[in-house]
Amino acid sequence: MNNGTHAIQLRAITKTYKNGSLEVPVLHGIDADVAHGEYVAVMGPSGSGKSTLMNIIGCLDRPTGGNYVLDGEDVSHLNDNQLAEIRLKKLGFVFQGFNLLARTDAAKNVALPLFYAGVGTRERQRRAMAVLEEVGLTDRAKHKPNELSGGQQQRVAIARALINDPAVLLADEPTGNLDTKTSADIMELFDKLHESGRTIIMVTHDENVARRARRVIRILDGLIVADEPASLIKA
Amino acid sequence: MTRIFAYLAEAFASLWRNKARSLLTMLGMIIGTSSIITVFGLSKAATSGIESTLTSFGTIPISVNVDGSQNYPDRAQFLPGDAQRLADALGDEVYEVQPNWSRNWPVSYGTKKNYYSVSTVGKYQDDTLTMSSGRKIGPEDVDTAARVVDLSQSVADKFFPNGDAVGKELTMNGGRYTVIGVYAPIKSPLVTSLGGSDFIAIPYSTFARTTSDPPDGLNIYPVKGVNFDTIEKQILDTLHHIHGPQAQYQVFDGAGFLKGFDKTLNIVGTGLAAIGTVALLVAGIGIMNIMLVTVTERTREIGLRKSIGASRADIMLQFLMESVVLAVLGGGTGMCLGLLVTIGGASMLSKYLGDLLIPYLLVVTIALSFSIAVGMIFGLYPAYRAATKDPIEALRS
Repeated sequence: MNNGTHAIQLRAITKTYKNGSLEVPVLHGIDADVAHGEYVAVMGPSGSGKSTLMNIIGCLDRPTGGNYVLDGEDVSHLNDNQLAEIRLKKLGFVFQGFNLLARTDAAKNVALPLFYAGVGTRERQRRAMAVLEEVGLTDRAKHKPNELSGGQQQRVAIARALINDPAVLLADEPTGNLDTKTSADIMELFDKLHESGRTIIMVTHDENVARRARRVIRILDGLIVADEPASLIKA
Repeated sequence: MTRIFAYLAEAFASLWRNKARSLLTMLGMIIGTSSIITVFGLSKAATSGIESTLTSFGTIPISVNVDGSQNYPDRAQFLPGDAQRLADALGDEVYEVQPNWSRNWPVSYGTKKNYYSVSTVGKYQDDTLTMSSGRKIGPEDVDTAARVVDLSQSVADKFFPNGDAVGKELTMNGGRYTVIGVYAPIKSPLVTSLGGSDFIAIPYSTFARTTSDPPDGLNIYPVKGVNFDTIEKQILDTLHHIHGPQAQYQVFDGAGFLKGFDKTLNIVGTGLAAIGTVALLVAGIGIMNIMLVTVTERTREIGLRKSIGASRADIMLQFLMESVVLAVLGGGTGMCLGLLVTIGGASMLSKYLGDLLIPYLLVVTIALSFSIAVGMIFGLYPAYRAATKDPIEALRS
């Protein structure tokens, strides 16, 4: 996975939304590098532009200006279908609301990205079982989401994000819908993934969650106002 | 290919989830397709029945009759030699010119007596009517003016209930005639109700010897490929030459009549099919409507699928497949219903029209291709809407 370059290189990223004739600048020039294997928390109040930044990093949106190199590939100016392919091959998403397909069992949910990648049924099943093992849910493979607890559902979602062996795992408030105990379990899973060499970028409000990361980037009014090791956060 | 199957399975699952809604949407397709299939199947079947019945009587000749509305119809009346003179004038363009008569004659055998319609036949016969016993009147009977007759089954049954008609002598209008054959009953009640099932056939040459009446008309059998307008002119020219230019005749193109009949049936069928097409259009709009609802309901799912890497084509295919499955399920059901009605209707009609051919292959092809087309056309816009959704917006919903 580590090919010597950075996992993420952001150079002077700007984003301006056009609303009719009104231009709303959201990002004013973001510069940041994330090395392979880093575990980064992105924090900021709502309206700060952190969601926009995550959308750009997640290749769901294009920057208005600047350059974004993901895993050695410049993705700043790709079209929709090219971005979809980047998401398919290089990114894994974990959402606050899990976003699992309701009538589909855990294994099939996990295997969904491989379906779009054109991987055969048997191979999908095999790899789904492998990542389910990684998140400790082998025995729940045939359960539908409504038969799983919140924590288990999020584990399924994390397994799905891992199945394509992504360059970067993006998590947007992954513990936002979970109770404290389950949140701790999920954060432990992220720790484990970090230790096994995954690159993780996590958006969170929660200082306690952020402290688990190794580095915290704070955003305010579309600019990075702080970029520091998580160990500096006061308990 | 496996992907197509995966989308298919997904489409079925998603339609199954909303059973009531899917069924109601399919209803439009069911009604539309079943009505199209019924109309189309029945009209084709009826045409086949009528055509096969008519062709069983062989080529319909060009018939020439004296126009009764002219001032001096007597002057135009056919003369005994007219048929031969016409045959000479037309030469290779015709197989035969037959004078024909039809009279109600008293017919008796032993003590049994009744009046029956006696009609003349000629040498040229290409009908496919079969005989239940004996043989048809042949060219040699016409050439020798043999005193022979063929009976319809019902006439034969009246006089000879034991089925031994052939070889017996009937007394008709004072003369004696030998029965040489009996026609098998004609299946088509339409024809028997038009022409009656009681008839006796006799060679025209034999009939001509018994009467001084001019022929009722002349039947002309043209060679294949002869143009009706050309031959009509030749016929009239010849008759005017014999009877003078004032004589007026009606020349009727039997084969052309059959074609016109066919055309009429086609027009009726086309009109009804157009109504069915409107029904399908409405059904298609119903499908589009429900697919738009589905796409809206599943916005979040679309957002998720796109965020994990589904391309526009992937999403498009998924929803298109769903609308096609919906349309084909409805269309298939409608086709089965329509076929049932067609089969039922055809069996009822066959009482009047004889054996009918239902064009199964055509019906299935039409129903399936129309259904797929409706699903594709009306699913396209909703699928496009789904495929072009912005994943960020979609995930936020």
